[in-house]
Amino acid sequence: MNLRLILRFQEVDKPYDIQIIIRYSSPPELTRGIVCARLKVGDNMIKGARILYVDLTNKTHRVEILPAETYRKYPGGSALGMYLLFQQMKAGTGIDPLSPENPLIFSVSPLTGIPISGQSRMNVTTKSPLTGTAGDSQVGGFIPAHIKGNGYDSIVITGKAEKPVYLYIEKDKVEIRDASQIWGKITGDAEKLIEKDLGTDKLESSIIGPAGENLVLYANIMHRRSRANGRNGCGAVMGSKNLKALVVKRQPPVKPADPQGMKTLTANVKERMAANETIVDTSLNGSAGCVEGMDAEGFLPSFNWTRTGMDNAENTYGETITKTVLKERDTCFGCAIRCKGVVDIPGKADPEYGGPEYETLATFGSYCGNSDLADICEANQLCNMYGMDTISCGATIAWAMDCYEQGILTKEDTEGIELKFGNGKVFAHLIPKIAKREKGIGELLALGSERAAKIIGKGAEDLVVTCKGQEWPAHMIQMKPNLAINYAVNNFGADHQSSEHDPALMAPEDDQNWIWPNMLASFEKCDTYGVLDDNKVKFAFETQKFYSMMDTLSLCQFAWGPAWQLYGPEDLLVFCKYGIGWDTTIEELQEIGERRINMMRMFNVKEGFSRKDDKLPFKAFLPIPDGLNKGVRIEKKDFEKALDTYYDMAGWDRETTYPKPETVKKLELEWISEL
Amino acid sequence: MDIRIIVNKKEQVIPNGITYDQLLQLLGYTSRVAIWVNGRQLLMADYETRQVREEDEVKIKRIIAGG
Repeated sequence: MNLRLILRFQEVDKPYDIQIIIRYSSPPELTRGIVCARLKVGDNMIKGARILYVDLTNKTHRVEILPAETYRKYPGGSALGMYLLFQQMKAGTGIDPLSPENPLIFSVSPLTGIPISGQSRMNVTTKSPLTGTAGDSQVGGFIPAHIKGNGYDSIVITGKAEKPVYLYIEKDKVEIRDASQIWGKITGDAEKLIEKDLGTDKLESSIIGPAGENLVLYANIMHRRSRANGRNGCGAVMGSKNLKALVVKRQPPVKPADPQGMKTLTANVKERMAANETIVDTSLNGSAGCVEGMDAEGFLPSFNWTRTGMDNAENTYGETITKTVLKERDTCFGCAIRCKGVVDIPGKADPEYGGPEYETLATFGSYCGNSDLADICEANQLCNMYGMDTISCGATIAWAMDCYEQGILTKEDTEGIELKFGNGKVFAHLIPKIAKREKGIGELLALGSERAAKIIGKGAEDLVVTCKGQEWPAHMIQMKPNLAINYAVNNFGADHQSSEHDPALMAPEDDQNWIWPNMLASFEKCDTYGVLDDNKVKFAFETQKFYSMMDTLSLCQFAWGPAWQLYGPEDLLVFCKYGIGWDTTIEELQEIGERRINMMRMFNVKEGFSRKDDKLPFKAFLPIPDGLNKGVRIEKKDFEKALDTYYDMAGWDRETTYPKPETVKKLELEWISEL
Repeated sequence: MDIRIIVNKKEQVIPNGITYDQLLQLLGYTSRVAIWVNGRQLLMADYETRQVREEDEVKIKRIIAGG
């Protein structure tokens, strides 16, 4: 057989691609056969990142390209955000998070906007006013895909506007527009006024409410009134800049590198979903489906973490919502799962503001001993209108109820509000007071539970359930002990989406819940609650790296993940290949995740954080007081030992927690040490 | 005829001849659970075929993730 090899160099896109065409001249039947292969120069097909810098003080903007070789180490989302944060502020100089010197960074990833489930996510990076650490929060919806569609990988906002403004982006057109008439408005009204101002509704926006304007420490940034960059108080940072909204023009979807190849993941999505019972439930009941499972297993955190269930908890189950108040299911750009619940309760909850997720059902429900679904839905709506994180807000109110029940707060302190457990009617009074930081109880609770407890004293500190100042999500560490480690060490405070959850280690060996995590590392089975051993620490660390990578590639953790999700680790390799032509490996993805964790840790240590801050609250070590799991507990000594093991696995100093030189070198982060 | 088994430390009376898949339905579980019978874990593939036997000691745990 004769073979003629033609090498054709073609500038398809920067960096240069090489196209190889192989023509067979013999045998004759193959003369028309042409084999094309596109090879890349370098490691992969991630191209340079297009960064928009906006200086609100000087009313200027510019675009810079981050070189491909740099972007490949920090490929989007949280890692890119951290890279840019280090460029924009000198860590360790004690910059006030609410000062103009603190940048606010919106980042997507090379995969964002390619039509497939779970890719339209956006990260916000900043220094958190709630935790004082590197701040980090993700949102789904549509704006991530359209930021990418407008040609940007990241938008870095610095300085402070003289008067309220909003930022409008339409490809190369970037405008800092007057928001005087919009300032002070709730999110839904602000969205409508922006549409009126721009004369179109073909927009996607991220907006702060009055809580962000008033610098509530857990203010969020709302998108489409029902999706939030919820945690870490990033809305307060936006408010401190007099920036009401980030608005982009809608654009056509991003095209994948290999549309045909992408069909291997998308063509059979209905069958995939039908075969995955957890995804079926998520499509039917959303994250709210978790309430029933937690309650049935005896681990529904209740009455500010003093009990594990409440009477009539079934009123707050996802299935109950679906059968009673659900109007429809909503979705994010390109996603088939449709997990977003939209509720309609006339006079209480307008469908415009979506519906409560699991965390919201728990924080305003069982945390507060409140089983009135309408009150929870109303609280969810008020938080979305005023722009506040429902986890921190609900948990802070639950803590205040605990204080009230114990006589630490009195009716005088609460301005006559009966802050008793079970009284969900207080939400409608308290939430506006918090958002407006009204003097008294509103101002106090706007600080979050940890700061508020320090102010009032009298034992209130022992009732707080936070890590690094951030209120705990609704997952009990006695049930999921790996979260004892991850809540404690997580760089931006307690977070439930920073590692896989322990029940995966109980799964049968022919279940994807067992098979997928074991693609990351080899784990041992654990059939008992309350076990925190080396196996659990390994599980915490290895799955933390994977989740960290997903927050970097800006992927939804309901669609992509290492256990129960729609797509698993090997599917992600396929997505990278056909989505952007990136041949990668699970090992490389894990290293990307590890790099981002270390960047955040290095930032925090420079800011004065150390092992003393990787701690759990008093209540964490109490045994389960009631129900099916009475007596199950995490011992403090086991936690401290596990912490040592984690630091050793991570390659960090056990006391300073700074990455050891060999870890820094392995991850090529020497430049941070040298800053 | 009914048989007696222990499920999560509580005695249950169930119809004779049912499979573990049917037991899950009877007790209101989905199949996204882990099952141990007399200390040994079943594969998911076994749920439809393995019959529940008199005096089986069964442990069932839901596989619940984040949300």
